[in-house]
Amino acid sequence: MKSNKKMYIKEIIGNILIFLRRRRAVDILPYIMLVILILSFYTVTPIFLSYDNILVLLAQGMVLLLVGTASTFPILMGSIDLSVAANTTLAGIVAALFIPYIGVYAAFVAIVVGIGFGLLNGVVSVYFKLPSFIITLGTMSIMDGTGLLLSGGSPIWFQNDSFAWISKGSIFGGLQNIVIWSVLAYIFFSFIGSYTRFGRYLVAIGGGEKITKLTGINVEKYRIIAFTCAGLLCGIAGVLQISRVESASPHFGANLLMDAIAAVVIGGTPVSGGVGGIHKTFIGVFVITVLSNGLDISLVHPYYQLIIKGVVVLLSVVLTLDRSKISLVK
Amino acid sequence: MNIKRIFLFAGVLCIITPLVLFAGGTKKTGKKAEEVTGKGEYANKILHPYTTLENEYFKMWGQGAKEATEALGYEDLPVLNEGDTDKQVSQIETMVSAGVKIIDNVSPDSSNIASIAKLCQKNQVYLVNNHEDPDWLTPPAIGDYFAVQTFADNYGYGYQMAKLLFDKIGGKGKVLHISGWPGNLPDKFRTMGLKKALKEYPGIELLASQPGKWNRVDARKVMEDFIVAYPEFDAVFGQNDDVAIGAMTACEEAGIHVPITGIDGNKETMEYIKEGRIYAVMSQHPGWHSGWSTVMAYDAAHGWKPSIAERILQFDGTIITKDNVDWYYNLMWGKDKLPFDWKKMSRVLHPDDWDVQNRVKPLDPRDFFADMPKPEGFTLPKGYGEGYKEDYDRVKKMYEEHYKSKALQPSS
Repeated sequence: MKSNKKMYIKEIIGNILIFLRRRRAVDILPYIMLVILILSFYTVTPIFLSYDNILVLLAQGMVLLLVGTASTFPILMGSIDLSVAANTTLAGIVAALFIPYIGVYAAFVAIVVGIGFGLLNGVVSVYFKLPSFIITLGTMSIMDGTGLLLSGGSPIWFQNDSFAWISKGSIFGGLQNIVIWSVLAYIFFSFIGSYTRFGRYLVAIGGGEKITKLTGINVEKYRIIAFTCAGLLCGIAGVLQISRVESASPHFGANLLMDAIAAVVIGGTPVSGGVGGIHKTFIGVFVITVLSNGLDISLVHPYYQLIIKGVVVLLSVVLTLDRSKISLVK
Repeated sequence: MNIKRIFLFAGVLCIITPLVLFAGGTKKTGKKAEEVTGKGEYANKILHPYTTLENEYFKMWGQGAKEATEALGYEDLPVLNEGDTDKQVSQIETMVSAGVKIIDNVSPDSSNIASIAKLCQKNQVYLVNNHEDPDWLTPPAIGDYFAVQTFADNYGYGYQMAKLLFDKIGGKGKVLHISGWPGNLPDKFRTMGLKKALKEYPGIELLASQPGKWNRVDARKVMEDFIVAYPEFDAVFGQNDDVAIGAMTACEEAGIHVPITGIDGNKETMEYIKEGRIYAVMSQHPGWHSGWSTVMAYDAAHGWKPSIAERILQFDGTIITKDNVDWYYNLMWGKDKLPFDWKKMSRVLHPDDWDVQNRVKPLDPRDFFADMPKPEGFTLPKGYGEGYKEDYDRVKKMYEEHYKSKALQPSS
């Protein structure tokens, strides 16, 4: 009987090791990381997993989910879009300016602004053959300046319950609408990233642009589409952001860019591109959101919070990034 | 995936878990869920969301908030947003969901105030908000839980400091202006105060005005550019202390010594005033301000119902020059604790003999926001109609009568 039990345990351990050796563990390590964080915070304070806090936590992570997803498109191709936060902020400011005149339809104006700047990033990057880093650094500054100019540097406060409903209303129970729209957009773009030719080409371009070109794929076209998708997501994020706080501010995107890039990398998409996927970004978003929420609710001193966040982000990347697939580290 | 990595992962978990577990709440660890009631535990804390601790102003802000909170028998709960207004909303949502019932807030800008105030109103959390406020937003427009909005007299500060500076250079000469963050409410009002003084001094020429973004690094760059563009000038008007310090270092490096003023009243600036490197600053007493607003939030949560005129209040600052800098330095930094009796400020604990310990007056939003455009479809709440003037006069008189301890007056 005892030997049977031993055999059984040995078999389980053996299976686990086989599973891990098949390199699939790299896919589950971020989830384990997240579960560990959640359990740690729950141990410190059970309120962390209260119904109210879970709803709050979900709503908090949604703008980052969209901007993180937007960042994943160019990063997958081995490019980068430094203007995602500025685009989100500008789209929000433009929407806020239109709300008094066209109400909820201002959301479409924001999305058009987002798409427009995304398209601009892609077109300029392709036709001038310049690194996306420089292009988007420039457009980021243009968008920041335009945002300041349009807003006069001041927050734009609006009173429009219908527009506020977009994020703060709730179609299902206590769940804020911002969660629903963001998850829908995320699922849609994850599907595009995982199950379409376009998604596979992005990974191929990131893995080796020249080789991809030689196979006859129109790299330029897909590069423009990728930046435009990023812009579209920024436009949506801008709408949800201002709807959530019922005002727009030129200073909204302060930490969004770095958090978005961190979320992408924690999720398993390295900044060198060619590995990972859009569907993976959500795990990075939740590591960052859970960390922020959990540290606040656990009453960790603000100084320690910064240290812990840095340590967790660093370790997440060290542990979860599949470096065997990265040919170059810069 | 190799075995080495699995072991590395396991090792790292051993590091992270205790780090997260013990960095914050060791005393709570090990309690059963039902013992940590959560709502009750957090209800014994006063939440203080503010921007940063990397700034002398907010260090004093944090100190006043902590001292007042503890004097009232509560626990201080500071959360820092590092200038990120969205993060601040998230932090407040988190704390409200955990059970916090009293918030004394200061935001990096006014963009999130309406959202925070509505969140508090919805969740029956008492809020006192300070400094920033969207144009024309009044506490009654949100509801009873948004108890009070406080403002520093930024317009008055700008006006008084400009006059002081102009007098220092004999009422005539060329002045440079380094402002704060464009569009920021205190920045707008301080500039308006400066412009009012300029009208009264026809001999003063304002050569140029550029934003120093409230920090010494940007202000220094602006000043360096000014020195090249306008080699001859007689004084510099700095919109806050840090901006004044940035201007001071650039001027000194260029061998220029002119009167420079600031607004805030930080410890470091006091040293420069003593040394004669900065002419004067307006201290807006951040320690007193945060403590006072904390006491009002406490009072609101314990039954105090401010009248309509009492729901927007403004307080005075003190001009610090070489003549009174030693007195002020000793007052604020000479002892471990700030020189205020926090309990005595409370309307609940001292209903008859409460003492606000600084000059405070009510603000009519129609005067305060007079130069700001109204949001589309905006109307002031009913309370600001008939009867408001009588209440305003009553509140003004009441605060004059209850300004007893003159700790912040140089003569005392």
